[in-house]
Amino acid sequence: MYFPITDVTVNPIFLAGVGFLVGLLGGFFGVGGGFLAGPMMFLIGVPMNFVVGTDLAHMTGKSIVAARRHRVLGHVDIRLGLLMVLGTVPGIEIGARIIEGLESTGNIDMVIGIAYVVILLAIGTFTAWESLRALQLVRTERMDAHEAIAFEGVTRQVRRFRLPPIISLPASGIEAISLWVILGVSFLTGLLAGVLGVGGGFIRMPLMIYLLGVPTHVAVGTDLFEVVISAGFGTVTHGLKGNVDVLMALVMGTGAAIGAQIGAVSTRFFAGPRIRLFFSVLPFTGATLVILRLLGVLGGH
Amino acid sequence: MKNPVVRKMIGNFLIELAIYAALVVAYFFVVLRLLGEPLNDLFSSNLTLYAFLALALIVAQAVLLEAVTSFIMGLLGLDQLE
Repeated sequence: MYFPITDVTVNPIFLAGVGFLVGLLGGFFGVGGGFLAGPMMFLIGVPMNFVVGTDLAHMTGKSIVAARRHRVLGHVDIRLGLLMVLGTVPGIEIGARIIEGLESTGNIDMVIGIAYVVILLAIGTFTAWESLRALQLVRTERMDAHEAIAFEGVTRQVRRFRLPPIISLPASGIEAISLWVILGVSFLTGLLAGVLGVGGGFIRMPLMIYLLGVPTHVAVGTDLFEVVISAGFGTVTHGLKGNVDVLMALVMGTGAAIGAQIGAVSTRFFAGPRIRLFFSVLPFTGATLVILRLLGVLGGH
Repeated sequence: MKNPVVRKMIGNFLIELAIYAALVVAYFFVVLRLLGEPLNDLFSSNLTLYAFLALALIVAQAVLLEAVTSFIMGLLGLDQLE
């Protein structure tokens, strides 16, 4: 099928297949999936500027489907999602400006790439270690399998920070937490996402669980809700720069819709630690793809 | 796959995929081909309108497809998975 906006001919079944795969991962893990869809689109000849914008557009649609399904399952904390947007958006903006400033002083792509790989490897290693430990606790101490976390000490420390206003998040089972903690965590994830040039689901989902103490299933659904807003915002800003092929995004969306539904429903069959253990594979995959890109195998930005 | 309930659900799921695939193929050839030229013209002439229309189309498609898949899932009893 010929896509006149990007001026490329791509098999629509392949695009729908990529959408399905990314939708499945997004529905299950609550991530945007740009780390996977981007390189795949680039490999089939989509120009890099269109890869970023079109991926954001497709991510918006896929996240709407998955977030609606998670909402039906009771996995979305809308209040938390909206509060996190307040920290994420300025974080992304400041992160992007830091990069602009640094780029004017020289080529920093390699430095960002290495930082990205280090962060991904740290998240993947930590999540794998923690979820394996939580699964062990479930076996040996008969902890509640649904939400066993082997890292609760840090969550308790974070909750001790009591600077007003103190709010409650019943949908996440949080009785009292300082608004500043939520804004700080979301700003940090936004800042990292802006500096690294990614959506941030990789970073946000584990931080929601380990720092805020949000149950894994709710963290997945709430992250998707936030992705809808941030990716939607990104679609318009990239669209204004002429970086979005909406036809391609619509084709990808057809596959993503069914993948996201399956992914979201599948979370019902797995306990929190198991989801986190599966999730830990994603940062390693992302790190491998970045290393390949740094080595020139997958092309540059 | 000894459990007949699981077997029936997998069967229903494959039927859902087949129905969905047929709908998507029809969608490719009717809607997307019709939209191709007007969207390309808009991309060249008015990028601001194009950007907002792109978001509206993505949202509309997502809501529509979510409703279609939910309807088929309900029709085939797959919503009981929830």
